[in-house]
Amino acid sequence: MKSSDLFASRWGIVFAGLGMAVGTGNLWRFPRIVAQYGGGAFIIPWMIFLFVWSIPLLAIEMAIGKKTRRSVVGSFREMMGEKYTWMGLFTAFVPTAITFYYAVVTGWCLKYFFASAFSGLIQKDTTSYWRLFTSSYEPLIYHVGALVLGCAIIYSGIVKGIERTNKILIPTLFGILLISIVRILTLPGAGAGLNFLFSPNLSLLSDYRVWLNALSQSAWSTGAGWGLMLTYAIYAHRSQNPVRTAATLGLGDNTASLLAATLIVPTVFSYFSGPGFSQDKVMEVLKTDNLGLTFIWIPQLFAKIPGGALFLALFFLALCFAALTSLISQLELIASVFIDAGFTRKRAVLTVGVLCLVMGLPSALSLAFFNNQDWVWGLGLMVNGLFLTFLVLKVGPRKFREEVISTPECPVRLGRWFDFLVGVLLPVQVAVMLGWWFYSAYSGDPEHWLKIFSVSSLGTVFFQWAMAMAVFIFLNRTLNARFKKYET
Amino acid sequence: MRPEALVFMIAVFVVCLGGFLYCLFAPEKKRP
Repeated sequence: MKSSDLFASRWGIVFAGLGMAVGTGNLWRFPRIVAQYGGGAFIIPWMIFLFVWSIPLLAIEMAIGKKTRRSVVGSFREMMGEKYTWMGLFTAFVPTAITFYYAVVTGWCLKYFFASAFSGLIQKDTTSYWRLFTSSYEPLIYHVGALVLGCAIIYSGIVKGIERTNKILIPTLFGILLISIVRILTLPGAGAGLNFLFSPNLSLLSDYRVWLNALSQSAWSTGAGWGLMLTYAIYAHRSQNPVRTAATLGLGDNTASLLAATLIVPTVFSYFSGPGFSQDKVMEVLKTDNLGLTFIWIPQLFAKIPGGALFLALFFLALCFAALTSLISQLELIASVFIDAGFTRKRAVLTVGVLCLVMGLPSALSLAFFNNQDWVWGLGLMVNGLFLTFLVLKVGPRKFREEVISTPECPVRLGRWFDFLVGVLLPVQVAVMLGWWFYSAYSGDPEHWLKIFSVSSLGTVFFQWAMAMAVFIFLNRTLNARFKKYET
Repeated sequence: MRPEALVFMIAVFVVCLGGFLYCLFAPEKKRP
């Protein structure tokens, strides 16, 4: 790899990685989940899982990308052998399927930023505004806009596109969160929100749902196991320490989540403060789904704040930055697979743009389809974590830590605990997490759990996973021939 | 703010934000 293809500095990949990890999930999912599962009590297991799931997987991904200098598919092929290329393709396909609808989400954020900054969103009836918007063709326009923006950035290359964008947007995002927090915490009733958020009610730790949701949140939020960090690591300098970089990203992502919760939870408490205050009303808002909280409730909450219009626009600007920086990492992952298969960057970016535009259309036009894809491929990320763990086990945990994580240019000493982590802890976490989500889906609708054409049944998950795996196993030989042809 | 909530908040931010800033700014160990 030419040095011009690499990140210009250690900070470049750190900011790009932060952009990848800090996404809409930090701003709209974490505050909701932390409030639902006991505030401080939730934060304890969530931080434990950062160290036993997210950081190890991010470090593994980074070490693989640095070693192979190939996309997710090429890396699986090189490290596990030609029989397992399909596994790499599945691992790359899961974030690809997520990108199809994530571009739509980025479009929504852009729309709401423009609406809050220039069209007086704060004075409107937000429920009917959201319904009108999502039932129109407008999401399609913003979907295209988000993809054009994302593709233009990755087309500009690693340093001029991805690194430069993230170095500007990520510090700005943190700055916006901090300024907004200062404003919110000066409101009456906001202190009650902080008390609720940071009171560690340790008795709640006996509830298994607190632990399982903490693991799911950490896994989804940090981007561990997605293959995104593997992709960025292709362009990392040989001297970049994968463990330290993974720790920086994981801790930075957790900080962003905590800042978002410190902004949102006190805002809701302040909204309902005064005579007749009831925590049930607060919880009712915080139990709304991601989209309801963000696009319907947030504008109403900010409407009550002096200067709320400005802070609402800033909130949606932060959301746009979070979504866009994650979207470009996903687009780069898909583009890198095409580049590995012999495409030029220009042709790969064009192909990715058209592919995501077409495949994102159903999600842009139907919320039911969007929710189905979010359910199926969100769970698919657990399989990705399992496949990456399997890759390390196939190579051998000891060999992996001594020859892949540690290199002559960057010696990293990891003890035998790493073997236990990969051989026992990571597989157990995947099994428990998948088992629990499957059981929840089954017990939620025991009569129709196998229905294929349902938004969130187990049947639709198994059907779509099986279809993807069958196609990829069938294509295994063709893929190998193609990759072999363009091997350098 | 209640004292136990304040202490917990500070502890959590020290670990996350402090750890993040440490990883970001601490110099790499010199290798032989």
